[in-house]
Amino acid sequence: MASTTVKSSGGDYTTLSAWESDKQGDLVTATEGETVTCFDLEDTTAVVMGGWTSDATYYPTIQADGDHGGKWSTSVYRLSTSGLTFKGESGCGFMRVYGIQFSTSAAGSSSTRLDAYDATQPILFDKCIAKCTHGTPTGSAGFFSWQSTTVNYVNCLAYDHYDGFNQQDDTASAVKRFLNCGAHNCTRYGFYSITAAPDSQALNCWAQSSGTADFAGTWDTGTSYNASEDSSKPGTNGQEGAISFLDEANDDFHLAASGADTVAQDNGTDLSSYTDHAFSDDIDGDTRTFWSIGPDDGSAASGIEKTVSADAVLVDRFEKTISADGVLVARFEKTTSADGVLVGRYALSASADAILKAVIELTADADSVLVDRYEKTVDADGVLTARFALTVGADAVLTGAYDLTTSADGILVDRFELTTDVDSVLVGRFALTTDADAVLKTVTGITTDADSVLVDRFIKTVSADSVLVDRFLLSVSANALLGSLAYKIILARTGYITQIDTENGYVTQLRSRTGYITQLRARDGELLG
Amino acid sequence: MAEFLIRRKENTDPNDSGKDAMLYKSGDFVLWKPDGHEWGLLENPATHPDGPAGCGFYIIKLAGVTPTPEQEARWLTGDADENEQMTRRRTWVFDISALNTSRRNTLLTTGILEAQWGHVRSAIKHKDTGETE
Repeated sequence: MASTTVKSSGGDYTTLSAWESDKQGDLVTATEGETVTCFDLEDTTAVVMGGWTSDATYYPTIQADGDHGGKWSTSVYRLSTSGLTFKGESGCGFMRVYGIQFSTSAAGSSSTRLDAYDATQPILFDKCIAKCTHGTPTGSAGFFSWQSTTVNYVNCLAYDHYDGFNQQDDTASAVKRFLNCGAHNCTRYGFYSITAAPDSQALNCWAQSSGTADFAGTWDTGTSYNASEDSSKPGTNGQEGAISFLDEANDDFHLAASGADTVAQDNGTDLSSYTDHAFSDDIDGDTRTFWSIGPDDGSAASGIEKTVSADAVLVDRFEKTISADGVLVARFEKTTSADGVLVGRYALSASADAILKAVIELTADADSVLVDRYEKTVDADGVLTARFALTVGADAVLTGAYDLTTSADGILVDRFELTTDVDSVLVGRFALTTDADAVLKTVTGITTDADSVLVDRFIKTVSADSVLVDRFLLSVSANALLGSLAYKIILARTGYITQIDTENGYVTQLRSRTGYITQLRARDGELLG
Repeated sequence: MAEFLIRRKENTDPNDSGKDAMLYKSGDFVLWKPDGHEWGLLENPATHPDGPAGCGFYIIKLAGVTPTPEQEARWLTGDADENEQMTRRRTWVFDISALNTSRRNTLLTTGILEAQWGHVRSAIKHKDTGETE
């Protein structure tokens, strides 16, 4: 498959039309398909695909780089003209078009038109958007097909045209399929079908706010699961009513958040095994889980999803909470082993503007005994303000605890850690304190023996410029008798005592650096020197 | 000034005369862009990896010319309107042989010609009638 690009700068072509003129020909004889990727630009030259020869193996593919996100985007390639924007003529069979945005400003010209003249060569439009900017269109269609064209429109959206989708045909073998498409605010019809039998087939399509009727014409018997605002929905299992869109006034036809819509949300049928064109994603490229009607699959209401194994053991449990404007504010998940034992738990909390607030995670062993617990808390700006972790042994005995506190700008101000032995007896404690500039202020440590008898304790204190100003150390013997006491005074440079050593409760050494007593030693109550 | 992208290579389909007529022929206008347009690698004879002769296009730069809507409609369309089947890709052609020797040689050698409207006007012809601009 040969691949080229259309870019405003630095690509192979600067218009899709130039690509078409350079690559058109017999792809079957050349035994090579042609793929063009169109990057972000507004291409104002109309395109006519004509004279090509292709088959199911070697065919032209036109695709957009990037994702328009299910709404007209000026950050993704768009083909915008003042007349017929894109036409597929004889020879365009098997063509595939992905994610292209088409726009016309003409009242009577279509955004896309297919005159393929060969019903045996199916064409595909997938995730494409067509709109008319004229304001009062009188004869245009977003997607128009004619003359023995077989085409599948999948996840496509048309709006502000005369007809959203207009399909006319005089050949019985030509089939038009509309799968999860949508048409909005069209002056006449959302979907219009006049074809020889078999007729057009619409599944999971919606039309809203149409001037004359949402759906018109004749439809194949397989037509079903469509939604209209009026009563014109064709086929079986349809819905009627106004769909709740995310932002209809600004042409954002995603379904309203949190499952607020009741007309299209969850009301389609699963086409992932559809015989003529199976697919499983929506206009955003998201995997369909609800099979809603229309291009967008929508979103779940705040709720719970469970996955269970064949023998009904809970494997996964997933819960999310969504705000009214569609922001995920909480997510919760549990995972269990094959025999249903809890092995993991995970939770996220976010603020209304989707800033992460907290993360909690638990890990358990095969017996559901807690192994790890982890928690993070962040402030409104997403800065980490606290972190906490626990570790336990195989029998759930606490073996470690860890805690951090940070300032508003994320600077560590406190760190705390405990260590215990296998019997959960405290064997170590350690703490750091720093000021707002992360300068160490104090260090505190305690060590005990197996009976929790204090063995060592020390404290260090430093000044704002990190100069050690104080250090304290206490050691005791196994019977907790005072073993030594050391105390260092930095101000000793002005004299006085700098150190006292003891043994068996008696002072054994007294030191001073300047003046007066410089050393005094004693043993068993007698002065030695 | 406008810059015109003219088809240099002949596209053909010897097995299907109907499709063959839909293909671009040598001298067909493809499109035009305003002066200074940054052409793509495979559009520009000066940057095409196979050199000017390997490029599918000529570029004609015409000082002081912006096509009128009527000229654009003539040069950039075929026989049929948008609602009919195309019977020919273009009805007007840029006839290289109508240029004087110097300009023709420049165009054949470099693939790019900078000229005045008067220098090329007689080279823009209706394919059937021979009518010129």
